Amino acid sequence: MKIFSESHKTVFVVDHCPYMAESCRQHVEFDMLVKNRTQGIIPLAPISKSLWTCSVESSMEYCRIMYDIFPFKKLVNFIVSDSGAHVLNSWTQEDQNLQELMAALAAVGPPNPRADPECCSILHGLVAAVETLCKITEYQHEARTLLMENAERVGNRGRIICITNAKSDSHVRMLEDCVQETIHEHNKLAANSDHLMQIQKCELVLIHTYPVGEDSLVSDRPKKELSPVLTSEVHSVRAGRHLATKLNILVQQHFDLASTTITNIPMKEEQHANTSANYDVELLHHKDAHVDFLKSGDTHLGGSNREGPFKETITLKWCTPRTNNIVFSSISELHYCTGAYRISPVDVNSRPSSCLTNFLLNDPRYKIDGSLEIPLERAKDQLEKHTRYWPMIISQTTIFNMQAVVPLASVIVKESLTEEDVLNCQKTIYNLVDMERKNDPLPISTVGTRGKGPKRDEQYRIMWNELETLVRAHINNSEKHQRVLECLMACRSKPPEEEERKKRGRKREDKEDKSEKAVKDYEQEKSWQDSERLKGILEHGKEELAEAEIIKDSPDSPEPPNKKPLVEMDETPQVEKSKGPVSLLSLWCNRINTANSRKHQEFAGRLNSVNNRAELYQHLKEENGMETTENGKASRQ
Amino acid sequence: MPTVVVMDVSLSMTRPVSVEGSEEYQRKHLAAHGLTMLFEHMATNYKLEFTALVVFSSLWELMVPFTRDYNTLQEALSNMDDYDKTCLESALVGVCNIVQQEWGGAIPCQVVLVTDGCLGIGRGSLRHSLATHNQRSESSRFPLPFPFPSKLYIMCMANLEELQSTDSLECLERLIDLNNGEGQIFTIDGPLCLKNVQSMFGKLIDLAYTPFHAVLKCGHLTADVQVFPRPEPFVVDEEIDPIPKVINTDLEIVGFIDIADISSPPVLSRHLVLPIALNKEGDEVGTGITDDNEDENSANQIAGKIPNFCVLLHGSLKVEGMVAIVQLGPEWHGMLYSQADSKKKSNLMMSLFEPGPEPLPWLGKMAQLGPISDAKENPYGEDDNKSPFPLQPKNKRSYAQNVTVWIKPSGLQTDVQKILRNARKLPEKTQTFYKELNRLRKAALAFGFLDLLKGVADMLERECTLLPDTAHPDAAFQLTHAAQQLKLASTSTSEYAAYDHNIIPLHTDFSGSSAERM
Repeated sequence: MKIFSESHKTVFVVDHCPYMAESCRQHVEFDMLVKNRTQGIIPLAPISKSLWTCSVESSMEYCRIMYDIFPFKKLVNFIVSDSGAHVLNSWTQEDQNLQELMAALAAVGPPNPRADPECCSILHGLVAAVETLCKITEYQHEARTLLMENAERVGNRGRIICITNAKSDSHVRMLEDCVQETIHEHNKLAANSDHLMQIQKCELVLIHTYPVGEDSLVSDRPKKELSPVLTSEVHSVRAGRHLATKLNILVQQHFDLASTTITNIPMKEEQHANTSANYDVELLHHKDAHVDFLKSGDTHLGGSNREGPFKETITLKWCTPRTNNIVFSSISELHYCTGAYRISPVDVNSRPSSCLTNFLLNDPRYKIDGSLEIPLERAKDQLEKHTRYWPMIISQTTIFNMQAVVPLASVIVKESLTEEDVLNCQKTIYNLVDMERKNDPLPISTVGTRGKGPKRDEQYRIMWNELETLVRAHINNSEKHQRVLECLMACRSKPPEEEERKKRGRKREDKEDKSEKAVKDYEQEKSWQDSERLKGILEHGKEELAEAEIIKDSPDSPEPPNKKPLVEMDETPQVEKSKGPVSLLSLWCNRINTANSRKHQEFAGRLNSVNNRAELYQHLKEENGMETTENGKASRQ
Repeated sequence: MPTVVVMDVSLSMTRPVSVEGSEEYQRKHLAAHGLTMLFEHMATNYKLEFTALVVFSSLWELMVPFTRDYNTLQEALSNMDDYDKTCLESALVGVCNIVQQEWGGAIPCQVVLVTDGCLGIGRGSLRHSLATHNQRSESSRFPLPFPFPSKLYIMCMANLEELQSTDSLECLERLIDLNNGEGQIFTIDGPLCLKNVQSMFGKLIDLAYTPFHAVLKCGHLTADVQVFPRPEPFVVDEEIDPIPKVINTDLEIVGFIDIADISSPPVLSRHLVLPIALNKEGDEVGTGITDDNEDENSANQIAGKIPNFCVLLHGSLKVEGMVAIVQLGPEWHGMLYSQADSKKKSNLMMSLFEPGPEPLPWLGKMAQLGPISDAKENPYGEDDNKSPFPLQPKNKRSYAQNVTVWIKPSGLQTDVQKILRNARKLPEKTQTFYKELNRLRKAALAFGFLDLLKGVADMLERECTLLPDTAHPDAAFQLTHAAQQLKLASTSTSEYAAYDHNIIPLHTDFSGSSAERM
């Protein structure tokens, strides 16, 4: 259906003249006998609706179905006509709901049977209907603004549904002529106006309604073209439920609706709560929902033709979902779905209907606040930040395999950091430094590498490089991100005394290699325990700090990596070759750090050392050596 | 999209084509040559697609049922016999049956009709079919439009001049029209020769069989992919927005959402997303699908060793039970998800939503979806035990708002009985009694049904007289009060007749001072 087809604008014109106060002569028993009643009570006399009541409730039912299935872009303007036209609402979307219309109708009230019939006419309403059809809707306005020079592509069509009590066929013709004349005049007006639109097409649906049992003075007439702009059809309908049925058929025709009956829905019985009976519920929806059905030739056309020839319904058997708790279901599957359609129950108040809809509604309670920035753009932005450094293979990353890095990695991708975030990042870095000093193994994969894999200090070098890559990817986010990098650069080890270490390292090589094997399936918890245990021992090992740097180009260096002192011992700051140009800031920081280091009090271990070297990890050598060997064995199996 | 090739094997296809040189060609040879080219193209670029071959004259025969084995199709081309006259309608009926049997009515299918433009004579000729088109009953319906989404490509082994000399071209154009304009006619440019046939089939390939290559992006992560079958352009609104929308070749992931939240949304079409390896020149090396072919294997093996974002994405979506929302164009989105083929095998797939700012009403506007971290508090709760979806519509639908409909007498009777039931349980049910009473009152006022208000007032007064001796004294007070109020409303002039006025319970006090008041 085109957006701006006739169905975009529907004007209801309902006759409010004195004769509409007449009874429809169809009785409603409202005082029904209820069980356990005292005997011998005569029920109150049945009442009957007026022609007005029948017209109003039928048109409200039309609107109810339409609003259910088309909550947007299908608009109704309600006009009541007596001695003048009363326009009850506007085209704006806020006015488009049943509550507004009901309140406005209550304000109008039923027609006054004692009013002067000479003053009253349906013509006032019809003229107002044409007028209102020329008024632009917000959707038309939006489309016109969007199309700019192609604004004329936006159509202005509409439908007038007029419920009245006409006197004769010639009276009907007079009404049609009047509408045609009015369209002609108003189109002239609209041609010279910016906020009015000419009517391109108008469908007039005249419904003549009369009390049950009377003869109709007006004959039915199918749709006929009165002019290129106006078509008209006449329906002569008895009031009461006949009128309601007619409008139900019309709403289906006007909005291309079709009916589906859900059968065999099990529902608990009110009286016997532990039994359940099966019910059927009939739903209306756009007929596209049936397209594939009809194509497949497998039409389950139900035979329930009790309400006339239009009532063709397709029957579907109810299937109870596997879990009642649809919203929070953990079994969530995607099903192939070619269409989803809004529905409206034919009999909205019947118990089976309301049971079904309540089951499906499942009241959701939350709503997302929209902010000024487009949230979706923020989402894209976030994805951009999160993927700046994202290794795709587990074996290609060290830091994302380390619990210890999580506090930093999870916040560094943020757009901005809090002081607390920075502190956490720094703590993470210190913790890593601590791990390095304690010689904790790292989860570096040895998959695909020949032989034993990298040495421990090489592992740390890889880890620090990776961490630096991650942090560097975000330094432009904010000044606080910079500070994290500064901390990282200040803390990570640098390579001095390369040769010296190499020489010394060879002795312990074998032992180390074995422990390396254990690394990949090493858990952080474990290394934590280890490191806690080692803490005390390390207190004695501070002498080692003098040689704290990791050797960059020596993969076979065996030296246990140590905590790099917070201060640089060398006179000139080392610049890593593998990294790009060093920022001015880090040059400056290094300089400051060097300066500060001169004021630094030397560690006791280093002071007591021989040849600037102190024996370290004396107990550890025995204890830890055993353990790593065992680990090594275990991992090989 | 499956393809049915419908090959004309009537005698007229054996008409010789004057080609310079020694060898003599017939039109059917030209046709076979063109089809070979098409099959070769498909074998390389569309190897997952199914193709069937139908031959027809006055009868039709399914030579090769739907297959991916292009060798079989190729062989069948060289084993075709010559038959009698052209009878297009029955062949098209045959195509309908074959496609519906294999694919049903929802899968789009391409039909490539290869003919020489001789449309047969007498009964069953296309001219006869078209002439009788308007006089058909439902049982002898003309096969076009096809009862499935389709494109009908007519490959004429004739040039335009030849077709225009008779009414052939007109008839063929009618065929396309009858298929709701879905399709196209191709004719040979210039003299009938192998080269020109090749160029004609080349045009068909360009139009209908070019693979859709795209770059899948998620922030800085990217992968070259083929989207299969090719997403077709979509027309949103023929009137306002008649230009078909085409999806971007940059498919940008904008976020991720739980499967339960997106809950089987309606889609226009769904497609496999296959990673492809591109070599330096930008040519395709091979798709990531396993294949028996040895030559392609090496390329696939190389591709298989390079980490691919598609693999990461597919695995993550599967494990997390989520889908990725992907931007297809301005105000156009789709979703990427893992679809299980069998217990062991699953694929990365992409489904297209209908274009527009709000394709899935229960998610609200797409542009309003944002990162969880932006929300003041996690909309999924600390324990991930709730969800912000589905969104509540601004105006509740009628079935969710307890509307009053009295079209059927039963509707009215139920509402009156509810009041009565509660009336008998006063004063315990005072709140419900007045709630139901006010609902009835409002509807009666809106419908101008004032007789009902009087009737119910009478009924309440009668109930008052029927109260048993054991009844609480408040019951009588409330019933009388309610009846009075309804009567006031029914006179429709007083302030009590205002729609927004609510009848409130009579304030009574039976805690001690009641005796004095009575």
